[in-house]
Amino acid sequence: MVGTAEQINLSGERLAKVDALPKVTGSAEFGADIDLPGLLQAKILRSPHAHANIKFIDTSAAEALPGVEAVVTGADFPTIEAGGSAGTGEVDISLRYLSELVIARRKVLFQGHPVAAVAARTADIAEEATNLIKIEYEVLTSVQDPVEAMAPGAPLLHHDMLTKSIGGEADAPSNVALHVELGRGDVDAGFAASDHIVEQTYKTSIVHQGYIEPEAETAWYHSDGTIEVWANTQGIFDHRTQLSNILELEPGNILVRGTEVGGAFGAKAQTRISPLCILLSKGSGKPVQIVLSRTEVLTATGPGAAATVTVKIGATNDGKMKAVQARFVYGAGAFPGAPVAIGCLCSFAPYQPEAARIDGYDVVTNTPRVAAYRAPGATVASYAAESAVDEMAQKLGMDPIDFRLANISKTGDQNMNDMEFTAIGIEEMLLAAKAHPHYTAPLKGKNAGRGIGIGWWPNGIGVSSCRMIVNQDGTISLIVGTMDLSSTRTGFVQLAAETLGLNPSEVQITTGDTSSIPYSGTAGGSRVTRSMASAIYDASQNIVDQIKERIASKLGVTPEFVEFSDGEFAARDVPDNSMSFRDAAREAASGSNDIVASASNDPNMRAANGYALNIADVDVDPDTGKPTLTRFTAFQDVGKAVNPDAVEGQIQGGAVQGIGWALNEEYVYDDTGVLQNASLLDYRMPTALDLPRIDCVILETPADEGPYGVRGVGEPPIIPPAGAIANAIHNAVGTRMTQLPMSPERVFWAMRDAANGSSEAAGD
Amino acid sequence: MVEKIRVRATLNGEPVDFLVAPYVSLLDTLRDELGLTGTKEGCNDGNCGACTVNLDGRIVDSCCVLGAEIDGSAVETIEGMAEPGKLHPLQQAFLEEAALQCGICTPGFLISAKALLDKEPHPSEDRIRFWLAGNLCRCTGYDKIVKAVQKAAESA
Repeated sequence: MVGTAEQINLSGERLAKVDALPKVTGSAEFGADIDLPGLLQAKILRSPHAHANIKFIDTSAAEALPGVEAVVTGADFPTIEAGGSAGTGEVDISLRYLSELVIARRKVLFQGHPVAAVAARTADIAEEATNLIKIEYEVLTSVQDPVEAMAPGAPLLHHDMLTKSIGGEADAPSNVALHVELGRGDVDAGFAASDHIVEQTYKTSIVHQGYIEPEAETAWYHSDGTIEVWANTQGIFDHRTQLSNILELEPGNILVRGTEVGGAFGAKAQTRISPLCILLSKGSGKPVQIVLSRTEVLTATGPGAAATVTVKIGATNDGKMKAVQARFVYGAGAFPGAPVAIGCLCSFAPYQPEAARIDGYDVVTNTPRVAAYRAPGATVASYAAESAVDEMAQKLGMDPIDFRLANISKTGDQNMNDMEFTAIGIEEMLLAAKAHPHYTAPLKGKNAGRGIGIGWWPNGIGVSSCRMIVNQDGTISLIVGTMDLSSTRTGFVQLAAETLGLNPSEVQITTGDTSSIPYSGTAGGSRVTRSMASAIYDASQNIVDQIKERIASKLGVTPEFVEFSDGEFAARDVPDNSMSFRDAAREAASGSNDIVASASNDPNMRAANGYALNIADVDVDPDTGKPTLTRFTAFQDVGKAVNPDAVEGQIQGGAVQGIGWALNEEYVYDDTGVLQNASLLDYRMPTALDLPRIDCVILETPADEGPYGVRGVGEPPIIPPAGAIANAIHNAVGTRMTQLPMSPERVFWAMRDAANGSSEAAGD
Repeated sequence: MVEKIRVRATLNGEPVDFLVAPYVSLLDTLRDELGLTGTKEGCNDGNCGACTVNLDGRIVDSCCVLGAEIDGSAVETIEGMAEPGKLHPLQQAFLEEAALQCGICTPGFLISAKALLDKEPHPSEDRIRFWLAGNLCRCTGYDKIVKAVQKAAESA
């Protein structure tokens, strides 16, 4: 029989990525590479205003332009009343709001909100036609900052939105959609018993995931009512469900195919433009494609949420965290659903304060509706929490790692939501950092400082499905239903090959479409490898059992006496009578074509914690305030590194996104809610030149349950950089940076204020 | 209707002869007129480098060049980088060193890196980072890309 999952030792090979060849030769097919006979291009007309009522729309001139084949407005879409979940993953949205986000009805709620769309023979004609659409707006006062949006008298976005909280629903509408509360113990007593208290407010701005490939989707509405969709989506099945719900179509009539996804990081978990393509295709009878421009991507897709966080910590002289109080205000953008609950949960999850009270608010603003961005909510929470924790360590005169160790969460401890931590090696991670040469290496530079930060993420599970087919030559075809955002296909090939005793080259993998494979959830939340590993394990076991049946007679025994281990089938107690998997599979498949197994993981299996730690060195230019990273080490516990190259790639990429968030990136709005930096020149992401090497330390504390001990990898690396860099800057120049990004200008003024003896916190 | 311009150029070593409207970028010319979709659009304003091609020995953002401008020139794109059955050492190094994830920026990085190694076969790490600063990657953090270029330089 197949060994138990725990007995299978993955070699953790650095296998070249199975998707690499088409990507280095330019043949990989991304969203905008889809071409079809008679394909039309469509453009979206978007609101120039951040907040306005639509008085009327006249599309007649656009429709009359030669080359235009279809025009749609909000009036062409069904009115969705359902408040239920649209299933968009970590940062969910209701169906009604998703529908109104795809295209505005009576009101526009952010600059860039779609109002109409035109399909034409060429993109140029479509663009020209959008300029011919006449719209009269009644412009309203807008609000971009979530704290301002909470204030009495702020412009109200939704007149029917009542704050939900543990106590029920508020009586009067406001911009606060949700108030969450977490905590334990008596915080007032905890602060009273504390020898030291630190308290500070931290502020962050909206940031973008910054994927290099803009959203690109194509739809073909056929005359029999069936619909084909090609999308660079994170989840083909949930995409189909969203389409069927907001367009009131039969899901069985919609076939969704995923293209290669040129970066997503959470933002492509939600359908955005294919509903427009579908109705334009229905109107024109031809396939329709929309490819967003970079300006549209930055202005009007789903960025990561801004937050304002106030944190108060009390501790005793011996380093015991007595009480934590925190207030999180997250901006959701135009419709509710910011990652509030999870941000609150992540903030102090690494620690075990005796008492805690955490309040979180989900606030709507006249900005694009946020989407998930890699560990959504956790990065800003960790930035605030880790800054405050470091402040406290300094006040106590303790080493920052020692203070953290004195309060660290361990296996079996409770998190703030009363859930028990399953196997967690966060203490081991801190000890590994303390023992690492980087932690004690001499600093380089005149104004140099070193900081650490840690981050925690619960990881997800959901459902993943695969189908395994034994080919006539004894090789395996593996079809999966999850989209590959992070080399997951390569890991799956390794898992299948090693479980069956094949070479990776004997496993061919393809990504299925919504008609060829059972449901698989959206790729997100660092859930895919762990859940699919379980499905692949079960499918492999099923294949092995089928082969046993077929080859038993060949081995001269009945099937129950056939054993399989280390890639060999053998008759029990019969020496020298064995067959390799490949030979046995070829033999078994020779007379039949039906050795097939499908499997899905158990969605009730528990997710495994993810956590990461950074040590960051900075050197601050005293004349310009520019912090330069000089050394950076990223630690992460991944449970089991299926493919260390892929794991390092995730860690390095996530860390650099966190570094960009910490140092450069932010949305800048003018007073009317118009984005001022909607280009990659002005929204500046890190280049190769801005960065040192990102050294990785992979730790492997096996996760409980599920095969191979794997944890999710993708989310945690983005969480700690902002806190670690803020702490490094503080240690370098003595100023506490309370606003992200910690741009040269902000650091410069913070240093100037400190030199002038101002007690004002750094900010602008 | 704007009259199209006739363009005769060399594309990946082969002669091409086509008509293109005067306002169409080289990027759109390659992708839409000539069917070479390996060159990618990330921003269309010269800031991400996903559309990098080699024009007469210099790397350019093809979104910022007009298709009509390449008349009489030689253009190299990602499709012309490998020889039949044999990857360019840079492609091989990117594959072996896991220097890519989503892959959308990869063609631009390869074209840029090739231009560097054609000029300077043994660049320092700083030089590689400086040269590649015109290409944005959001997945890798650049570490493995820089190492792959170093490896390709060593193998040459």
